[in-house]
Amino acid sequence: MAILTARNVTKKFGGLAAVSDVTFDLHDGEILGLIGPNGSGKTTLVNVVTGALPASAGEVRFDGHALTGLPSHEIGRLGVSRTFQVVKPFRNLTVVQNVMVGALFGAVGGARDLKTARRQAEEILAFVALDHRGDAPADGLNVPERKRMELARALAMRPRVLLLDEVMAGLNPAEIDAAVDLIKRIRDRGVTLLVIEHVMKAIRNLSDRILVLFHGQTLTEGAPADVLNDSRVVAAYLGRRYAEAARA
Amino acid sequence: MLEIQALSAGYGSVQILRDVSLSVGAGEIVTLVGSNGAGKSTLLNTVCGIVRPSGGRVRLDGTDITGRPSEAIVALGITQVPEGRRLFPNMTVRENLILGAYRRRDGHGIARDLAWIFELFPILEQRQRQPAGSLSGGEQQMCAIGRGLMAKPRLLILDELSLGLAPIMLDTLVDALEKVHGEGMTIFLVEQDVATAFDLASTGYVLENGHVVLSGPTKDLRSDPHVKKAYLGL
Repeated sequence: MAILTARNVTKKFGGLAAVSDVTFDLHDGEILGLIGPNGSGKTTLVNVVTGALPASAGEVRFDGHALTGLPSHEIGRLGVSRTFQVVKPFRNLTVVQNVMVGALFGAVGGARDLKTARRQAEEILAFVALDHRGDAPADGLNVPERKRMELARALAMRPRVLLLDEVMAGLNPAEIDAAVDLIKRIRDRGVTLLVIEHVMKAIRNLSDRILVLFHGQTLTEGAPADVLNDSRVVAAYLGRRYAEAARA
Repeated sequence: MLEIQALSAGYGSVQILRDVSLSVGAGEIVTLVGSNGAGKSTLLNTVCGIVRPSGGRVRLDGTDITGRPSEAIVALGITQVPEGRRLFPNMTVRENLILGAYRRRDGHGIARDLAWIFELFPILEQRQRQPAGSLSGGEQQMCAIGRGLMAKPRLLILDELSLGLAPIMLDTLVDALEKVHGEGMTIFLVEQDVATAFDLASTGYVLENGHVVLSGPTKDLRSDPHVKKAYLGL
């Protein structure tokens, strides 16, 4: 069953269509991989779904609600959260305080007082294995820690749908394995995920289905094995060295 | 060309680099790989004069540059393409590129190098009047590399070339850097994507907990069991 549906979503900047007539379903409990070249419209699509940008045309629905036209904080309250590619924490707050912000402004049923928010934030920091850094200032974290704090902040909003925008950029292979494991555990908690990532090992291991964008349009959609072997996807996105490595 | 000898450095009482030695020969591509927190950025900051070492020496073509200020090091011919590009987003692509040449006074040379960069990355020529912040991630990385080359460095340092780039975009950048290398540029590449780093570089160093644990030709490192497991994810 689809928990989130996007129908004919278009986003224009001036005369340029960054996203053009994109339709997809996010099924309850699945992980959908979203790939495509730099500039193909992936982040713009996430921005439209989460209300950060208004759609020029089309409709997004979540669990019976029309999201189109709602401000992003209301979409967050309904249960749709996201992470940002460039992590921008509240630098003068501690890690746990940053996560508390998510808890306080998240979905219905979340914390509405500081004490509960702190307890929920600490719980989530333990879940993402960052509890030992809870009292550190947010700008004192290294790259993998910052990415996990960003995840914790989004999770503290108690989302039913979580959109992840390149949470693995800048991680090494061992750290990527840990992140893949963490994302699977998030799914096991009942969260439906859309994952933007350029790390093919992660996309292959995580995705139930993959959606490919190219110049703002859907190039193809399907099972990972089919999509990653599709010659159009190799030509538009995966490239020569990937194809060589896959053959080897 | 670049010779790092027994370098130690850190922040306050925290020692990050311990006794690191490595060298980059003229015309070579050398890579330094390692996890987050291994000390890669500290090493670059020490080479570029941002962090003062507590011990050891850095030499460029025999000249001791240890502890010199960054502007002196840039003047001697080391340019860094920083992690995350760090372009001026509200300035145009062309302005960002020209800024790379701010120390140069050879107008003809600057024009020639700008034409060369447009040949290397034709998309930058098309987008030269757009603000750099409107470029895609891959185009921004092209612009950052172009800006670095406009300084006409003797040694080009690249920090995290692959960050956030689609595989096919990385192919394009690898091809461009091979061309730049073919014209004689010496390149020092600090990279998290070890497979790509080894595709480009002939020599590699592996940094763990602030010291070099392995080094040698990348074709040998590629088959090293520890490297395969920890860095190539095989």
